[in-house]
Amino acid sequence: MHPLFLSTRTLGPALALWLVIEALVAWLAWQQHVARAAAPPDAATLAGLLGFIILWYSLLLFLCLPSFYIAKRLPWRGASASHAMGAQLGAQLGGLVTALTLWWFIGGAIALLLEAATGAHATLWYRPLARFHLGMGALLYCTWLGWHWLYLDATGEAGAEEQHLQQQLLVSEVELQAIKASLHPHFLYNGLNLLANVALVAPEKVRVLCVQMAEFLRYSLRFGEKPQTTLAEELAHVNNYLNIERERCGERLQVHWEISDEARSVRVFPLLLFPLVENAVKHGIGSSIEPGFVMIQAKLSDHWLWLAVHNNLDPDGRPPHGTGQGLRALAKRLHSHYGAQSRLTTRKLANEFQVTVQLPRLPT
Amino acid sequence: MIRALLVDDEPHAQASLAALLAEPNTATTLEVVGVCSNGLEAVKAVQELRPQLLFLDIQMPKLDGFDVLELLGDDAPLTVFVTAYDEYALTAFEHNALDYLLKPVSAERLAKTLARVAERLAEHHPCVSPPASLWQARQQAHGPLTRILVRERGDVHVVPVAQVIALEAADDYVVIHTQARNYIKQERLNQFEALLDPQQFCRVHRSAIINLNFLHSIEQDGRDQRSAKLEHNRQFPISRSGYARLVESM
Repeated sequence: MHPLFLSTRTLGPALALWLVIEALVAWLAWQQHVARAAAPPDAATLAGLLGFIILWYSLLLFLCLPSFYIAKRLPWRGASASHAMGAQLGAQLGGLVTALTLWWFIGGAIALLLEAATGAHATLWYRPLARFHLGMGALLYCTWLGWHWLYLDATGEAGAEEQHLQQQLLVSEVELQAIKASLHPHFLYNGLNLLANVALVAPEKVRVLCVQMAEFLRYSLRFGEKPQTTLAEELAHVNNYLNIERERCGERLQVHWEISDEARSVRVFPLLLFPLVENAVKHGIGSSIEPGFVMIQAKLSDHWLWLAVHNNLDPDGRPPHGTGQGLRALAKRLHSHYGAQSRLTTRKLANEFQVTVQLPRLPT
Repeated sequence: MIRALLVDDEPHAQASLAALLAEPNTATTLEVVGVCSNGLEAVKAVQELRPQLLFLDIQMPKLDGFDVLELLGDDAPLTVFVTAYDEYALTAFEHNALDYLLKPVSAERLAKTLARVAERLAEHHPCVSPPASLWQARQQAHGPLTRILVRERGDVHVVPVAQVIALEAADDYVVIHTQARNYIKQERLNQFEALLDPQQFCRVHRSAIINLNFLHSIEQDGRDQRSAKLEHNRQFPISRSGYARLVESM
């Protein structure tokens, strides 16, 4: 859409300005005529002049607009600037010639029709002033072209900058989410709540719980700094979390471990295990009244490390919030670390939910 | 002595609230008659022990605090919600909760609550008005009904909506038909109609809503009389407007 037509506030003044230009052109044409033939002005001649100029030059206004679209379609910035520049100038020159030619011939028709219809002396102002009109036409066309270029330049740049800012905002948001997640606000809240209660009813446990919470958070906050860790450290991290949850839920949470010794020293990326366990606790004992369990298994084969996290599932339970985002995010991380060599699968049984992760066993 | 029941799914939370209530200044006026770990126990305990005051956690697995109040209906005593999230405050007060305590509970705040409790119980009619709109208001926020909670004396049944063959109106309650057995719930059929998924359930008569998944056949009994034959030997009449609705939804 040409910017002129975007709002009536721009269209109105533009049309008014154009009328003024037309008046100016008419006056200039008059001067030309007077300089050539010193005939006295009469009504028909004047009417012919004004009518013709107004009609014909209004047409020119619309014929100038396509240069906007040419400028828009052919960018003049980019990799091969001189190439683009050349293409742009060529196209615009073509546009100019086409527009003026069209304009010239339609002008003839307008003059004839005007004269036939009203008797005003319009043709008088057409052919004799050919050079004047074509000059004026070219000048006005180029003015429009210049204005179109300036406009696109100004808004185009603004557009690019806005895009750049939005991109930066997106990156910052992702970083912010990652930092927020590593702070574990819900875990902190639940943990402090637990400590407040325990301080009242079982104060001897407070210290141990504080240490476990602190260790958990310390590991979590440092996760961005270490590209790799061992499975043993991951298991310790998850153990801290489970101890807090066990203290909170009481006997409702049973934890089972089946970890092969050799698996413990395998290198993995940090916070691989935690999302699986957090999910298991939330959806398992979080949905059921009966006692539930979380089982963590790790075993090693020649080329692969197998991790599995199972939890109980209550089919009638109210499904908790969380739309599987944690698992999806983990799958993405696995893919970016190990590519197609890693696999995350889930399995839903009647009373149990299982997540299995398969990773290539990297040389230590 | 005010008889109070504590409901919370976390054992330490139960114990610490009991400890706060056992402080000398409250112990003389309040007695904790029971402690429950989930909604089912809570409903049973209220039936059996008839406490005057209920400290109710909202976030509990399977049945949350609001489910408990819904099931208790008119039998619900004065209730103080004890919870971690303040976003339920407005809903809580719509359900005529006396007060709302955020965890961890501070002794000062608890004292204020107990003062209000004492005031309310001293009034002649310290009753909680029946939470009629409770169910509807909550459900409408969460989409179509996925399960129906039924209280039978002290027991609570959770009936998944997929197992419901039909709902039949009778006097001022509704009979919920499932394969194994029928349940009774004190609600009007209109309430169910508004909350059930219209793709799955159709109101075929003033007194019946059927689950289309269990529809076996439609039979013409007379000139204008039709009946719906459902699985497990259930049959319900179809009214004229009901038939139109049925045809539309199939």
